Amino acid sequence: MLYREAFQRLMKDKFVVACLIVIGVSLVLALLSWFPAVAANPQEQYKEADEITLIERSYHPPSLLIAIGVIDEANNKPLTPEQEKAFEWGLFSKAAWSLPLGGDKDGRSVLSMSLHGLRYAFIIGLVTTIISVLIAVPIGAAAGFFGGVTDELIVWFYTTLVAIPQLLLLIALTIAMPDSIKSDPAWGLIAVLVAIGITTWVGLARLIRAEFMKHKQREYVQAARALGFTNSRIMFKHMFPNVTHIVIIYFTISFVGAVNLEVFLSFVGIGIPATTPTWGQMISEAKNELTREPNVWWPLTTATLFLFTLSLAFSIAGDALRDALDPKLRTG
Amino acid sequence: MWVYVARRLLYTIPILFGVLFLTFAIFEAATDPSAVAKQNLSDKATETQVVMWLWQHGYGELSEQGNKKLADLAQKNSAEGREAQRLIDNAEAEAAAARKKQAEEDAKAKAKAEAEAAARGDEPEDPAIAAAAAAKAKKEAAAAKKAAAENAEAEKKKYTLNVEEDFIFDSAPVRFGRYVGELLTFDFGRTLEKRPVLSVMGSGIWPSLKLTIPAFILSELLGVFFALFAALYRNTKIDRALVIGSVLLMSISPVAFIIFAQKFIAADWQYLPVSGYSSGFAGIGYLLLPIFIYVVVRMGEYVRFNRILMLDEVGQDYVRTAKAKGVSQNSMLFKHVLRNAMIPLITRWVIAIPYLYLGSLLLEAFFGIPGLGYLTVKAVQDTDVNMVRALVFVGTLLYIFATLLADVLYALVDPRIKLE
Repeated sequence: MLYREAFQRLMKDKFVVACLIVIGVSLVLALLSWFPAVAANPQEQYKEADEITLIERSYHPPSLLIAIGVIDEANNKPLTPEQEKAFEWGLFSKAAWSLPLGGDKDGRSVLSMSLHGLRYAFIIGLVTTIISVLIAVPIGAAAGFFGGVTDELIVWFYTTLVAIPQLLLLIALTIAMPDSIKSDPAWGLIAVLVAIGITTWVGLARLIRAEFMKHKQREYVQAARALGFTNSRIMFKHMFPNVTHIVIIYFTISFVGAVNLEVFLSFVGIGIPATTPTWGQMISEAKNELTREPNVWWPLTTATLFLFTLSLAFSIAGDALRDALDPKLRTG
Repeated sequence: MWVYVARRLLYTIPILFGVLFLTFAIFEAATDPSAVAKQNLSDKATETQVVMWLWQHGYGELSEQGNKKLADLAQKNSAEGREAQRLIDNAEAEAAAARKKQAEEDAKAKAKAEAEAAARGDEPEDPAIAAAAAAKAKKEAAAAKKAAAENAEAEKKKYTLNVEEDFIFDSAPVRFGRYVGELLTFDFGRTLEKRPVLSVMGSGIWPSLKLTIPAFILSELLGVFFALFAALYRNTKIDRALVIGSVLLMSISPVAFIIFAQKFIAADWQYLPVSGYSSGFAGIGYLLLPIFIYVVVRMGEYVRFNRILMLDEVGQDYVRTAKAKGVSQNSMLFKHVLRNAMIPLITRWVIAIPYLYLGSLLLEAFFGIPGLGYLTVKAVQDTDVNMVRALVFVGTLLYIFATLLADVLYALVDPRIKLE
């Protein structure tokens, strides 16, 4: 009932619908990156002769913009009228779409890299949030439901965890990881995601604990107890559905936080193996390239725009979800 | 109330203990004591030096074998030991000389015998046999040499201490006790560059504060100001614009914003310096851009959060009563709404204090400000365990006391709460 009502209210706001569409499209685009045509590896991708050779691909400005005539290929400036006349790239020619958003330092297409980054953004956001939720819900539920010594112990435990500033704890965990894991592309990423999950679950656990403590006094729980149901059944079949809205809202907030955290970690160089094509890596590589002549702005701008759009969509959708699902705001 | 404070203080003890235990476990996994010894001595320390350092700094005890080796070493290096060694060396030299002389005489005799045999007309010896004899002699010589080398190795090993055989590390509880003792007395050891961590951290606090305190004050003031604005013009287009603006600002990635701001404002238009720092009043120019960036990046979230606070208050009954009473707009906003919204705000401000000390990692790294944040980034990139350990401890300590202060202040400021 709650969800149908919330869904109806959500759909009324056109802005929110737009955001949800953006998120859906992003998911589809992220899945696209598994196609070989959108590979992040130049050697695999450009075996046949192309309009632009591999050497020229490095730092090539966006070919779409060249095709439209906004920038000049050689000098990176707007075209003069004479050049426009001599300009031959049609909008739908192969040349225009060879490097639509430009090439980065190693000649990879910025568009491909961005789509890969999108995929990794989803992986990072989803995995860290799932890990947080898997840790926070049982612990919060146990603390709220059982009370007493269990509650005291659990509260002590997560208070100590939270006492260490999140970044410092992440740094400590990263230093403790053996080098063999850190340099391995797959396990290194997983280790960092687990570390992020470990450092962020406490907020959700506190909320869930408070909710469970409130619901423990309600009649339906007392009834379930009187009927002789086991504790775990009461907790997860009867009480947990009442906190799923908190978990959903947490999902949207945590997702954006995790993606931004990854950007920060990539910049500082903690943990994430340097070969993973995430937006954080694109941005941190691009940092040094902005000041060379001629300046190479397209990897940084593309990554930033993708990141901005995704964050914005999730923020707006999250806010709307919170308004829709908050029981206090429901009228009637 | 003081009973409450005392009780809360008492509660921080198990928390502190928990934190120390947690960080101990993490850092135990990260550090190898030999590496710590080398970091404190030099990279080229010999094994014996490493063991001696570990022993002197109380990491453990020498095993029986280690003790024996130590005694031997001491004897070898003592005066009589050296004298004895000299005599042995002399004896060996003489023996070697004697052997050589014997070999020469043998060779001479052999040559003489061959000459006589040739003079008598005997058939020369079969070259194969001679070759076999020569080969055998050569093999014996090689074996002798190898044996001599092995002897020398064994001799040397007899006098070098190594970590595996000769050192017994303290058990975990003892190590933990030492860890806690070091941290609680602020004995943090040395950084990778051999400077004491405590003084390095001390020199980094002030630059961090110079950046974070003005930035924090400015951003909080502006956040409250805009939120009051939103409350005043609620449900109008201005409010909607503020909401949209704050959500947009919130979605910008801080890293990207810093890069763009640094490029455009500093490098291209050259309004402000790109990076750098100088102490004293003249250094303000270097801090303007980082402060500006900090404020802009935080503004979105602050305005949104504070706006919600203000709107919560404005929706309450007492505001309606005040308006019916005829209280002026200004007075209502500042005297009533702001005062009540201050309560959670103050809590947030106090909890922000530890983060003010720790500095902004991003801003300090980008702008070359030598504060604690910059030190943290450097410590991570260099894997400087002593530094990271100290930073984590200090950060945690600050956070624990900040939460205590926040709780007490919250109770003081909110008259509805009575502390027992």
